[in-house]
Amino acid sequence: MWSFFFSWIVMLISSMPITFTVLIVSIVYLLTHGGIMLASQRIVAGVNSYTLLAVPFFIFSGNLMNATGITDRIFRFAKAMVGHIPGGLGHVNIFASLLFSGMSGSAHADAGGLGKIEIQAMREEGYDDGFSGAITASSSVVGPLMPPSIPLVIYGAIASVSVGRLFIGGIIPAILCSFSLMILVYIIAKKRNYKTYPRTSLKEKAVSFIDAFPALLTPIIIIAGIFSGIFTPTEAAAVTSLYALLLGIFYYKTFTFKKLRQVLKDTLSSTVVIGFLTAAISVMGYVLAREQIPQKIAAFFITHIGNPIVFLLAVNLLLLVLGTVIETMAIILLVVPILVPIAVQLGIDPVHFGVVVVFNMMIGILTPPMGVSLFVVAKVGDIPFPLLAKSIIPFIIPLFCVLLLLIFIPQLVLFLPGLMR
Amino acid sequence: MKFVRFYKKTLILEEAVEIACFILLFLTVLIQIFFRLKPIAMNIDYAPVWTEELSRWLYVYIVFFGSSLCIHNGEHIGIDIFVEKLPYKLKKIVLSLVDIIMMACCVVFIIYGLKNMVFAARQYPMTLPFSNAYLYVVVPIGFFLMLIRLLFIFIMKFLPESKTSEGNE
Repeated sequence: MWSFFFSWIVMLISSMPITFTVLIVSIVYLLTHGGIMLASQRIVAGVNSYTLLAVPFFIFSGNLMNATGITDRIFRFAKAMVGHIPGGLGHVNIFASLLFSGMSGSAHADAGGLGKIEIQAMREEGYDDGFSGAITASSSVVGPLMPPSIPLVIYGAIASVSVGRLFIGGIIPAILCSFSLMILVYIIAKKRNYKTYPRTSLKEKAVSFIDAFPALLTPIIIIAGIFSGIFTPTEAAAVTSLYALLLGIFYYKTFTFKKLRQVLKDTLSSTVVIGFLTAAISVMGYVLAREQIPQKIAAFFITHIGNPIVFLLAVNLLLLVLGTVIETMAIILLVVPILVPIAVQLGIDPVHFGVVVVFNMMIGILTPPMGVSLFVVAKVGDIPFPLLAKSIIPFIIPLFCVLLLLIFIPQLVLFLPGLMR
Repeated sequence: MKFVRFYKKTLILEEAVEIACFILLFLTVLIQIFFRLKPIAMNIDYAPVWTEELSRWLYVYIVFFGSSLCIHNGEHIGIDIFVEKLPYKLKKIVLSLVDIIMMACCVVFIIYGLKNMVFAARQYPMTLPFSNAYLYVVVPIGFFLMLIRLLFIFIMKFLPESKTSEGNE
């Protein structure tokens, strides 16, 4: 088994796609230990899941929102609401991301679509690039916390936890996350004397609200739909896509079929990358289960660390370290099936555990060298990567504090799902 | 080059299959919800049972047909920060090795994917009128397409290289 892990790590650092490293070690194991006939069945079984179907639709709806210009309206609404606080556009940036996260399930869609508008606006107002890029990247992490959320769908599918409960469990952490970032921006703005906008009139607020209202309705449709039993999370994702499509064509009238092809292309490529990774890791999951690796790790944790809080801290430390070098989705897929049973055995609610893990992974997308969100922001904002990597550091601190809060106070996550029972 | 042009055309075909599957998937899920809505369910006595299974199958198709396209575009994520630091020659050897191992992996999946079809042909899903072979056929097809893409990238890596070195001499 040691040679299994050793060859896997060698392949991982040799720039081979993660999917293939996983597949190759697994088939070598199956060829030498028997059971290779199962490989084909396992790889299909990995994606043959109805819950996972929500993933392509949430990617689709996020891309549609960006293509139809709904993001512009959200940005304008956010500007009317919080633009007058010291730090001006910094707060607008964070607040707009929070609103947009209710429509998109990934940090990429947020950083890529809304981020472009945000950075442009901040640049025109004379904010320095590092500051605006760092705010854009760090505020985009609420995307997967606020429902809908792609990582939480995947977590729910592999850990057999209700996706609906996970979704509303993410709401308070998302708000806390935005709030902590706003405090930081306020402090920085006071120190550097950034300019602010005059307070907008009530009428301006109302106009921008009405303009953005149909888009702001999306998260409510999702949550209400799931909990009233009208549709499953997967269907909610499809309905969200349809809603975005209809809004773009009939209400905002900004959508063309030329855009549709690009949207489909982007959607499919993200879908396939995540889907193929899920498929590959399900083969590896079979190998690990046969070698009883999860049980061995569980036994280790339970004999050495009996305390749930210590366990959570240890897991989070491990994930933070892994998150700096490995892509986050891969970590979730690899680590969750092993750790969830242990967490449950130690008396940690799987919903709490899921939100904490996803939050942790979102810090992972901000930490160089493998910070996916930083890559996206550097690309769309045309900001040099080293500058961004340096400016992001102060923004990780408030997020880290929120993570610790979530670990020590499970009620922050579990309060809202508890109400729904 | 004629060969390259033909190759590019096959990419469009793949994309078309994927987009068709996705649109079909979208419609399938919407049909499923549509017939459940109260005003419709009260008047039309029809409950589609096939939608759930069909949508899962379509998702599998999308993933396996699309992954070769992603190989072509280099979208599968890997960790390249270590390899980037290697000297040029060594880096090239490592990257070629990686390609060869990946191709070998594809070959294994094609062989055992085909063997698995024999078993799958005897199993039937709950609601669809086809045997499971139609689902598992994506494994050999998908990996075959990936193999072609990998081979093409592998050859392309050496082609322009040999030309420029000839020009220098």
